[in-house]
Amino acid sequence: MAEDKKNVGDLNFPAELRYHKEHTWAKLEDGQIKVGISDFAQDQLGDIIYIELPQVGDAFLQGKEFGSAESAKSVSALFMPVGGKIVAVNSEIEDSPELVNQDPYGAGWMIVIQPDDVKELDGLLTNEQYSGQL
Amino acid sequence: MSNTIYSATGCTRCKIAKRCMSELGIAYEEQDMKAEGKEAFQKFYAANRKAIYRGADGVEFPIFSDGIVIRQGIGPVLAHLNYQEKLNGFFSVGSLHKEWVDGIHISGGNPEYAEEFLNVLRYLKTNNMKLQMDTDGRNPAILEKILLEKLADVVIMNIKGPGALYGQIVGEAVDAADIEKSMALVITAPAYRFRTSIVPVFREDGSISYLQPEEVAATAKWLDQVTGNKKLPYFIALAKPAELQDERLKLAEAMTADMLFRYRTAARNHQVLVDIEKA
Amino acid sequence: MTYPSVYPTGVTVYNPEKCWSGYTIYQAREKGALLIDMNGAEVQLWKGLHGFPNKMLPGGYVLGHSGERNNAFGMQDQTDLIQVDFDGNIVWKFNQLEYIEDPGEEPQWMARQHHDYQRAGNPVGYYVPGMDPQVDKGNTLILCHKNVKNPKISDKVLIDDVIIETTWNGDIVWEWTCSDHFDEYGFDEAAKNIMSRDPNMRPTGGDWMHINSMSVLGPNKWYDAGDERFHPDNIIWDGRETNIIAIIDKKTGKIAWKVGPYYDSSPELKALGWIIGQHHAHMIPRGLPGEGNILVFDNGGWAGYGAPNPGSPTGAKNALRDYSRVLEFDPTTLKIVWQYTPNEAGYLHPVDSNRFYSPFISGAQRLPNGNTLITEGSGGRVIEVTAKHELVWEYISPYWGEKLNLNMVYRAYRLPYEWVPQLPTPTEVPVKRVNVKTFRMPGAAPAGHLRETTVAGVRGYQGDTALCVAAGEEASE
Repeated sequence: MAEDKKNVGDLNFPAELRYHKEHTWAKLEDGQIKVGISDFAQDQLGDIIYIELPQVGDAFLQGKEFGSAESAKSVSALFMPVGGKIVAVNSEIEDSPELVNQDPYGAGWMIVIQPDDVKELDGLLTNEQYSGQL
Repeated sequence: MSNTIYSATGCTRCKIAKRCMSELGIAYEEQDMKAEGKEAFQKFYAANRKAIYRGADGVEFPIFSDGIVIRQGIGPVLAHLNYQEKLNGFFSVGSLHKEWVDGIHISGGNPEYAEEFLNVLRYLKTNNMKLQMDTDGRNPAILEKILLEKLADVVIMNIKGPGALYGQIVGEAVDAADIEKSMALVITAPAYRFRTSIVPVFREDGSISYLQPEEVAATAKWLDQVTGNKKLPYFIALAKPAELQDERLKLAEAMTADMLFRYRTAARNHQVLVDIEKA
Repeated sequence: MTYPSVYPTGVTVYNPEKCWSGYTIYQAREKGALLIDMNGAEVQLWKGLHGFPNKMLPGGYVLGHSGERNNAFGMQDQTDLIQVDFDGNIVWKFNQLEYIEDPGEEPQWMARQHHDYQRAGNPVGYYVPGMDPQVDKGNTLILCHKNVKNPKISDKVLIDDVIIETTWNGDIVWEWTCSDHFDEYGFDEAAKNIMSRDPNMRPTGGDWMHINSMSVLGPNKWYDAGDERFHPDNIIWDGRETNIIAIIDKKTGKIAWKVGPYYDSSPELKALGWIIGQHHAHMIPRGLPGEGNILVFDNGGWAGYGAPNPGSPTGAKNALRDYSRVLEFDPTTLKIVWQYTPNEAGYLHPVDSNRFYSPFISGAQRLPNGNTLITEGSGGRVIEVTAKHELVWEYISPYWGEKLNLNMVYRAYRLPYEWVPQLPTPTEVPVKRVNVKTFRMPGAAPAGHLRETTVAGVRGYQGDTALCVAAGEEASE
């Protein structure tokens, strides 16, 4: 079915973030890492209707699934950009998942991680590398 | 209780469901998930996610809810609107799109309600839908009426196995004559195919093992004996867990796709066109 | 491939000291499976036994086919694959892949085999020390045809390639279908465009890939060093129409390694050069010189799908070259390790290059002493060359077909004398190369001028190549 998807050139990938190839972003803030999904991921999903997030205190390795985002069209797994413990989840988006569509890098953030090894961040993609692989 | 129909802009089968409700005088509210009903659908989805079916292309519409009962897909919705629970088993959410409707199971429901079942099929046909139905051979009288009235565009017959194991696989005693009558009827449908899932079964000694290549060959031979045709379109497939009635059978170690080749070779001795169903 | 109208057939050169001598088996056009010795003596003909190709097994067995499907309905479909003993008895047969009812023909099971097959025990179907193919058991991999519809490729009926593995008892236990992996071949839009319109249409369908070789990698140093792409069970094939050589993962069916369809996308590929319409690409098995390298007869000719150019107004068969190359290259670096091209054959490139040229069929077999047996198929020529490119054996097939006026040889194989215990070891008689400068037909004048006159003031000749077109060193600059 034809969907109103954007061209990669019309999507926004802030330079100050690092990206996991499976479409999550990571931002270092005071030694912790804030995570959400990229503009590309939200655009591919379309209107998000449900987000499943982990509990605070859960821990996952880098690249492991921490939750899922669902739209009427598809279900996308959410992947840890770096390994660590969940120290905060955005309960706001559980009630209003449209925030992820509207503001994926701001109000649509998903979790905050206390990283096991903050150096894992260095292995992630820059905005240019990430958009280049799309 | 308030009735709600969740729809998607441009969804033909949602329009058919709405038309049916209007004709039956059932009051309802529509929530179009692509338009003004976006938020309502999101709330409904979040609350009822586990009950909502997702196919390869996402959530199927229409979805009907009266606050208690949820029915999804055109077949189950029409069946419920007209006859409530009477037609349970005859319909499920389908996976085909555009003008094609599937998830219609001739053997799946109570044959006492054959006429009610046929009414729903007639309604779908008068709304220009094409119907793909399946049967495991039970309820041959219903199949006969369906074909007589030209309600089916495609019929798929799931031959569950050789006669001796049939009852066990479908979960109730079956009359082999019913299965044979269906075989003979299916080949008169406008388009048809036969298929057999390689399922695990209980053996006499209580052990569990998959249908064997020789048993599928016997099934192919049975089909030839009944129809007098060795060149029927016939497919074999790996079993899906949902096909298994008994929880103990789900514990059997899964077969791999490569294992189907031996079944195909064996079955081709009696049905030369047997092939492996594409996943 | 430039032959005069009169030339000898049979063995024309034989140097027993430098050859890896043995028997050679090939399909003599419209005759049968023909076994010859190094002097070209036809020591055994399995009359009428088709061979696409014929291969021998130890004990004097030969593999072939009892016939070919009517060309009105099929395209190179051999009805079966059979193993025949020295006396012509069929000891093994496979045909139960597809039940065929062609109009006016007896309904029957057919293998629809074409171009290749491999019996377990040996990865490539030719002699490898310590890797004898099995003769009374073992699975067989068979390359076959299957008609499919695949709108991703074209809306036309496709004659697709399938590889099956059958047990000795005829049970198919593995199957791989080429078109299922269309997205993995890396075709660009220009290629997809012309392929959609013309998937190499033949009378009975689009022979879009035309796989003409299929063999197993066998144990190899790449896998031993941890490179999973070269798992010994993996299968290598090449597609004539697409210029692709690919290795498929036996477990997943996915493409594990490939070159083509384009040879201009990296410095390594550019150095390898365009492989066009190739045949018999295989990995040299462990135990033979060059083991682990890919050996291929790069035909040239016309093949590939892509953008139109003056030689291909539609983009069909848009890569062109009018000479052949035999390449041995490292599959990990793509570096050419050894080659036999017009240059090594002693022909001035490019003006004389078409003298080593077969635009279709052909093959190359690595021999235990490092020599290479090359089938330059279209002209019915089979040669053995040393690692240093010396031609030490040459044979021209004397069998032109009555129905098809070609003495073509699809693919010849050399085998050790011990594989045919029924025959006494032949005497090897050297065949010295005739000096063609003095060789004359009866009635023709002998060599040499009858009179000579000195012309005043003439200058000597230059040995350079100032021809109408650049050639030799000038052409390679």
